[in-house]
Parts: sequence; C-alpha cells; structure tokens
Amino acid sequence: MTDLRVHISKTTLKNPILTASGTFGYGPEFEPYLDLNKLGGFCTKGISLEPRPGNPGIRIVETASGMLNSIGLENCGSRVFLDETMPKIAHYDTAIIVNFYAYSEDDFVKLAAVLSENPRIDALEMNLSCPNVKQGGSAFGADPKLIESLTAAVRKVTAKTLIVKLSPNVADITLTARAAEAGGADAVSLINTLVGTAVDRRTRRFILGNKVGGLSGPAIKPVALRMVWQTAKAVKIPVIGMGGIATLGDVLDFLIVGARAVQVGSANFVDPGIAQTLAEGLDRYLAERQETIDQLIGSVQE
Amino acid sequence: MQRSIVTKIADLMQVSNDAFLLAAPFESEPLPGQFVMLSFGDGRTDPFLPRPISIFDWEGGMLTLLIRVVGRGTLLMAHQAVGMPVRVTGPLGNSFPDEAGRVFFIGGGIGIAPLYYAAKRSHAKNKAFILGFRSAEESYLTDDYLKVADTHFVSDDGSLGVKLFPHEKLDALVKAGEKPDLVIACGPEKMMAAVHEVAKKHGIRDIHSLESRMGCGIGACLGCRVQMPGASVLVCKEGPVFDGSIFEEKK
Ligand SMILES: Cc1cc2nc3c(=O)[nH]c(=O)nc-3n(C[C@H](O)[C@H](O)[C@H](O)COP(=O)(O)OP(=O)(O)OC[C@H]3O[C@@H](n4cnc5c(N)ncnc54)[C@H](O)[C@@H]3O)c2cc1C
Ligand SMILES: Cc1cc2nc3c(=O)[nH]c(=O)nc-3n(C[C@H](O)[C@H](O)[C@H](O)COP(=O)(O)O)c2cc1C
Ligand code: FES
Repeated sequence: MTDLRVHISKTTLKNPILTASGTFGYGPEFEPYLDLNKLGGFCTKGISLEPRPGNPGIRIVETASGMLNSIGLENCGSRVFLDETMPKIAHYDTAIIVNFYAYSEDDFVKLAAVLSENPRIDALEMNLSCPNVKQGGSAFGADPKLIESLTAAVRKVTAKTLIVKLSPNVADITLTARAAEAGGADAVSLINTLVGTAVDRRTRRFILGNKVGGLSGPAIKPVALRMVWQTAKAVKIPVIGMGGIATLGDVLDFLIVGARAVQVGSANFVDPGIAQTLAEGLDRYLAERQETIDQLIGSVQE
Repeated sequence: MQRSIVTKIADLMQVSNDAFLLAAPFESEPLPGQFVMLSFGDGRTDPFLPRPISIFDWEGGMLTLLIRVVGRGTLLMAHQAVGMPVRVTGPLGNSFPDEAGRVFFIGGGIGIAPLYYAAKRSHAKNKAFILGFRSAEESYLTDDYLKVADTHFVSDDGSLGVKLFPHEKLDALVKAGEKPDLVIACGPEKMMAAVHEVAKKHGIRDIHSLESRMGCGIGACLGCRVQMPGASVLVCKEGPVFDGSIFEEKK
C-alpha cells in the first residue's frame, strides 16, 4: 500500500478521495456499497440553521453526459443534524466534512459556531455557490469583497479546517479564490454546479420546477479542470478539485493540475461504490509507477 | 442484501411493439414491490443516470425486468444484446404487504410490471389480476399472468377483455360479491387515484406503487421527492409503495 495521505491544513486525509456534498446523502446511505473507512472523507449534504424543504416540482433532468438538479438545498437543519445524524456517522474512521450555507453573514457565523462545537467534525465546507436558491447563496459566491469579509467573519468563530466552496458562475474564479484565501480560508474547493436549464419543447415549459438548476457530471469536467488548474496557480492554500469525476483517469487529471484532493459527485448516483474503487485505483497506479502522491500532485508540465 | 454490480444480459426478448424483457444474473433476492436502478455497464456517460425499474421476476439468482420503451435510455437498452454488460443496483425501496385473504393486483400499461412477482410470491388464498391495456395489440405477456392467477383483462377499446377502466372493473367485482381484503395497484397516477376512490368507497385497504424521476434510487440525491395530495414523499426511500391515503388531500 502506498502512502496516500494528504494534508488540508491540520486535517490529514488518508487518501485524496472525498465525496461531494449533496451526492452522498449523510453517509450511511452508501454503506451497502462501499467501506466508508476506505475514503479520505465525505462531505455531507449542505446544512442550514433551520430545516429546509427544498424546491417543489421536478428536481432532476438528465442532460448529455450529465444532469441538472434543482433540489434547492433540502436538509434536516443544524439541530437534527447535530443531535441525530452526527451520532450515526461519528464512528466512521474517515474525515467528516460538513457542508453548510446560510442566507446572511450573521447566519453563516452562527451556524459555523454551532457546528464547531462538535468535536467529531473534521472540517467545514462553506457553500457560497449553490445556484438554486434565489436569496443569498449565489450573491455571496460572485462578489470577492463579500467572500473575503464573510470568510473572515466565519474564521473568527471556528478553529476547524475551513474550506470555502467556490462557484464556477463567475468571470474569473481566481479572484474569488484569492478572496477566500485573504479571508483566512484553509482551502478552497471547486467547482460547484454550473447554472443551466432545460425545456420540454412539446409543452414549451421549463422541465425543472425551479426553471434553472445546477449542471454536474462528466459534461462539466473540462471546465472544472481548467478552473482548478488556474486556481491552484493563483493561491497558496490547498485546492480540492471536483466536477465530472467518473474514472481513475479523471482523478489523476485533477491531481496533476494541482488539486490536493478531489471530490466525487454525481458519479455516486451511477455507481454507489465508485469512491472506494477510485481510492484503490489511485493506490495501484502510484504503486505500479513507484511514484508518491506528492510527486503526482501538480505535476503538469507547462 | 443490497449491491451494485455489473452483470451480463442473459436474455433480451421483445414482447410487444414497445416492451421487452431483460434478464440478468443478480444474486440478491428482492421483495415484491422493490425496484432496481439499471444502467449500461460499459462505462458510457451518455445516458448518464441509471433508470428505476421494478422487479418483474426473480428466480434462483436470475432477475427479470419488463421495460417499456419511452425515451432514449430505454430505447438504447432495448438495442443491447445478450452478453452485454449492465449495472444493476438493488434491490431498493420498500415492498408490498402480504395478505392471506383475497387480493387483487391492479395494473395499467407498464404498471403491470411489479405485479407478476408480487402475485407469484403472495400467500393470498384467493388472488386475481385486473390488467388494463390500451388495446389487444398493445398488450403483452397475457399468458404469463394467466399462469399465476385469474386475470380480468380490460382495455380502452374493448379489443382485450371488457371495455372498462381498471377501477371500474374493481367496482364491478366488488358489487358481484368478490370484495378483496387488499388491492395492490401500479399504473398511471390517474388510474391509481381512481382505484383509491373505489377502494375507499368499499372500505378496502389499497396500496400503490408510485413513480418519480430518480437520480440515485438510494436516498442520496433528494431528487425523487414528490408532493402528493396527502404528503411530500421521497419516493425511493419512503416508497415506492404507499398507502392509498397518499391520494387524499391532508386536512
Ligand atoms: C420505482 C419505479 C419503478 C419503475 N418500474 C418500471 C418498470 O418496471 N418498467 C418500465 O418500463 N418502467 C418503469 N419505471 C419507469 C422508468 O423508470 C422510465 O420509463 C424510464 O426511466 C424512462 O427512461 P428513458 O431514458 O427511456 O426516458 P427519457 O424520458 O429519455 O428519460 C429522461 C429522464 O427522465 C426519467 N424518466 C422519464 N420517464 C420517467 C418515469 N415515467 N418515471 C421515472 N423517471 C422517468 C429517466 O429516468 C431519465 O432520467 C419505473 C419508475 C419508477 C420510479
Ligand atoms: C443532486 C446534487 C445536490 C447537490 N447539493 C449540494 C449541496 O448541498 N452543497 C454543495 O456545496 N454542493 C452541492 N452539489 C454540488 C456538488 O457537490 C458538486 O460540486 C458538483 O455536483 C460537481 O461535481 P460532479 O460533477 O462530480 O457532480 C450538489 C450536486 C448535485 C448533483
Ligand atoms: S432518487 Fe435520489 S433520493 Fe430518491
């Protein structure tokens, strides 16, 4: 076995394979299909202070090599998450990264503080970028000044590893990444979904109840790879890459352009055991080449 | 035990203009009413998502699905061949209740798919199908269903069985003295809602299998939530089998 450990600030991951928020439930859903202890970690569904019902109507549309979703950040709320969900997942021997979001700076800070009280949570991933919710969320993700002040405010109340998750729906992602770094983030993760839509040409209506949704899956990989590469060059903090990962080749590509770790998203829907398969594949790849994980990361030739 | 495996198509058989049976080895024994997520096992990313498909039959490690071609994914699946890989994840979801007395299995169109295995495995003393098709020409597997239980065929144009809707046939049977203890229904939502009305009128317990667009089938994406008159439900995890009260406006 190769040493696949990577460090995201003070959090050590046993390997760089994580699962992406919103595509891995709260974790236990995947127990029949993989050993969670074989993953570097997993990101929970996005948590808000209060429970949220999500969007009405159709929430998922398949697209060419991908999908649009407008789940609308449905979740059980921070209290149920901490009191009922955390005890069920605390025993996993892997990093638990809690994805969270809010509609105001005050609520972001309050929520980060509440989550930070739980000793088992390894890291917080601040979602600035979900395009589904009309208020708040998306506005935070596009404005570097806001990102910096919000990150700084959250930084003050948490000693946990703080990851800021960036939206690709911006003109220059290196600006928002630098803003998160300036605000005190320990790492940035990208990309969240790209805003898109789909129509039913027969009825001439939008398919999604919310009209627009977030595009994910293999279709977005080239865009994600480019953004991760640019960001890795622009900031000193670790970059966690994602967007369309479905094969070991995809994992390698993200690491090669500079990602310290990766997240597997929509591909979990197709093969719920894929994250473990990818971790094992990465192990074999490096062992065969007698290469270390640090030699692989950022090895792209320019 | 739930699992997600790549298995090979053992049999592929067209049973009508637009429906086919697909058989593949799959070891986990399902419960009646459960479903699987089916996709191409060759690593293609388009179509991307797996499709929810009911269990038509399972016998000695061989899973059989009855699939109607409605769009691109099911069309491409129909064009696969014996020996080609498919990914099957399951068995998923809850299941139909078993009942010792008289049970009617009511299906409309492709909704008949989960009823074959359900009736086969049912311990009811007295079981019968009510199967509705548009026409005789668009019907399939009628002989197979007849082998499992008495079958009342109904069709929109009267070319198969009698010209009635499934819920009307249920009503007629009850009025003729054959009141069941349980009805299990699967088909278009309108049909199931109508069956519920009839069942409620006669004080019969009714159970239905709902459909919804799914991403994962395992409760991870929250994509399959639908707002029914009676409740908002996550179909893959809380269902797909629900009590008929789901069709009633919550007071
Ligand atoms: C629990 C459950 C059991 C089912 N059992 C069967 C069965 O035994 N036999 C069978 O033929 N069909 C069954 N269906 C319906 C089947 O899933 C759809 O017909 C199929 O997904 C259509 O795929 P497509 O690519 O041909 O259609 P497209 O319209 O091209 O598909 C596009 C997207 O919409 C989704 N979609 C389209 N129609 C439906 C639908 N009616 N229900 C759910 N998702 C849909 C697809 O999954 C896909 O993600 C079942 C559905 C559910 C939820
Ligand atoms: C159904 C669904 C729900 C998601 N929910 C969240 C969420 O709650 N919070 C978040 O930060 N990202 C969420 N995402 C975005 C993913 O974490 C990921 O950034 C994106 O899907 C790109 O990766 P992929 O192409 O591998 O899926 C969601 C994605 C999908 C498909
Ligand atoms: S289909 Fe993903 S939660 Fe039901």
